[in-house]
Amino acid sequence: MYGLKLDWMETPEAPYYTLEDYTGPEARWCPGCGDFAVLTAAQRLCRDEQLAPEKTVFVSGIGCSSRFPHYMKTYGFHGLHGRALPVACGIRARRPDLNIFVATGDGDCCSIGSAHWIHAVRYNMRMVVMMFDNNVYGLTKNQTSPTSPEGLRTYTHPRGAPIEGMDPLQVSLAVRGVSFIAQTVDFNPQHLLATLTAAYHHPGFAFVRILQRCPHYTPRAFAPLQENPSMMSLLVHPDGIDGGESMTRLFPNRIEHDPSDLRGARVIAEAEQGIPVGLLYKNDSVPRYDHASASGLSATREDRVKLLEQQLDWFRI
Amino acid sequence: MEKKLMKGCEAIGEAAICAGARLFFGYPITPQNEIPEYLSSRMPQVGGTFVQAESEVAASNMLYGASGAGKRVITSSSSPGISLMGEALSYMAGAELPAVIVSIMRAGPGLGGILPSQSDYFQATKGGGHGDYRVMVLAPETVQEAVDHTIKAFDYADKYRNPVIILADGILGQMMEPVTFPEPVRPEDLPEKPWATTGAKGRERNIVNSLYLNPDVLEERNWQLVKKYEAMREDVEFDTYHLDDEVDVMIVAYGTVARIARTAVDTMREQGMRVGLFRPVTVYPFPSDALAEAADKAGAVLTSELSTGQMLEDVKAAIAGKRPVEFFGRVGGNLMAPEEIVEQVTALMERQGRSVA
Repeated sequence: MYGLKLDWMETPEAPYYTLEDYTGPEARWCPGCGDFAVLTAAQRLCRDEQLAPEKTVFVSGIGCSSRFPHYMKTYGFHGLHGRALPVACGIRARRPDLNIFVATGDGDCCSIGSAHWIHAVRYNMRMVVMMFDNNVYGLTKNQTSPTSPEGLRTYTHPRGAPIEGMDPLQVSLAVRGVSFIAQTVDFNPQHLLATLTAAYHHPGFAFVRILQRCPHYTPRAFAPLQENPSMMSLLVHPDGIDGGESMTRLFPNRIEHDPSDLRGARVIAEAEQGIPVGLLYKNDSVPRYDHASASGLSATREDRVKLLEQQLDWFRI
Repeated sequence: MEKKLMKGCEAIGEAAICAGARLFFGYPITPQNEIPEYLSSRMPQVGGTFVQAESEVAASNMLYGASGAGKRVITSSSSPGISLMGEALSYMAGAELPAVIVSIMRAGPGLGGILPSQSDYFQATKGGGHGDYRVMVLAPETVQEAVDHTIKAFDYADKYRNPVIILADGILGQMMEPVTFPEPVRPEDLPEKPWATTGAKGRERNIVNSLYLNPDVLEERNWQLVKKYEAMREDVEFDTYHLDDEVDVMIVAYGTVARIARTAVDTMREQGMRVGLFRPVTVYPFPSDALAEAADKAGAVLTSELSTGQMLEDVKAAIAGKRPVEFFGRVGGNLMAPEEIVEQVTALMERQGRSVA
């Protein structure tokens, strides 16, 4: 069946999917882990968009958040450390019909998978990337991650992380071919869902950095943001992410930002103060590698015979 | 020095410092995190360097670079991470650079599990990377031996200008046992490294390289390397237990399994069964000659490993069909109980028509 269009199957009635249709076995993360919020948001997104479970795949690498596919009752691919994006690209390269979601973390994506990440942004294959950023390696128990802030004490840097953490937004926005970059927080379910929904509808590589609480190893990483929301800046624009009216109350600081403005997005990402929440950049017209890689799928039988003959003509003696 | 109670991983870390290693490069992976974690606090105390790299590929290439500069260098990882280090391992062997790599084996293949295993025997002894190369592989069975092996590994690495692997299963990495450490090596006692890239003042420049485009040159070089790998046989090590006299069954096991087998041998000896244990300590070079000699005095051989049968191939090659060689393995992170080995040996003796006392 691989690579074939499956649309020939007749369904007597379109089924209606409920949350239960996407709910896998009981999720096992630490109590209070932000991953639970993202799991709920993803299941709600699937329900709201009525995504057929058999047409939906969650791909992950290695890390706490990479247990995600186990907890979704869809197809899943628990991949290799750092390789979630190449695995997802491999799927997308040949399956334009699937809904592809990637669960990856700051260790998986920004450290061992950093080269893949840059190229995945450049390939701009259609998928939703949920990058869970908790500033630490949780699964291997408290080692420094590439986004750990300078000075964070971990088991591999007992005197504190020696250098500044990297900013995944700045890195992604610097890659030519970037087409969708957003940032959200796990402790605002509405904004989280609205962001993932916008990412799902984006025709290309939609990268969402989710600031994710790790109550066990980095309890203070994002607690200040919860305690003092004025440390964040909500990006607002008619083309941006609409989290609903309650956002006005939750985010006192707002920045008017047109998501088609790449330069403006970079300025926001680089700003010393005001952690941006919302859509930084979106461009629907960036070329997609998956269009090229799956182009052969539309060839008819006649086309294929003709091309085969042309190919074999090269070897004529 | 007084005894300390330490986890295998921590003890290996301290042993590296004792041996004069001042550079560690690594990346988190269970079940060996205690090595980088221990060295992250210890290295700065001795003027050394600890770097958490962005991946095992990076860590092993940092090792490659630092080794080329002539320093005693060490990294550690576990199964999937060692796979990623295969590239640098091959290049270091090709460029003839010393380095110590600690491989704390977990269950595979793929992501497998984080429980102990010995399923990376092939990876360590038969390659791991590409090309005709070998690395010396030491397989400790106690935390104390892991310490001794780590210190020896640096000497072997320098002696042969070649990477050396400490091959330990996850039990050894995580288990606490009493250990003592020898006096630390004094920097002035470390061997000279005239090949190192230390700045070409007053001498020809040294180049770290494994590239030889001329097939004749490369062929000659490969045969030169083989001579070196064969010379490693002079440092072959093994251990025997109750093999002085003839036995009905000789168990062959290494690492933690050898300890389990030892208990099984004691039980069987108490019952009057004629059973002994042969334990390879260096698994490359493999103690083939000693094993073949020991097998001459045994009715049959039982190889036991935490794998589906990897060292088994070396055992069979050494014994070359002279004695029946059977296998008993547990995998997936499971261990065998001594009683299971007793059962296996008893069954083997019955199949061989030997009386079970």
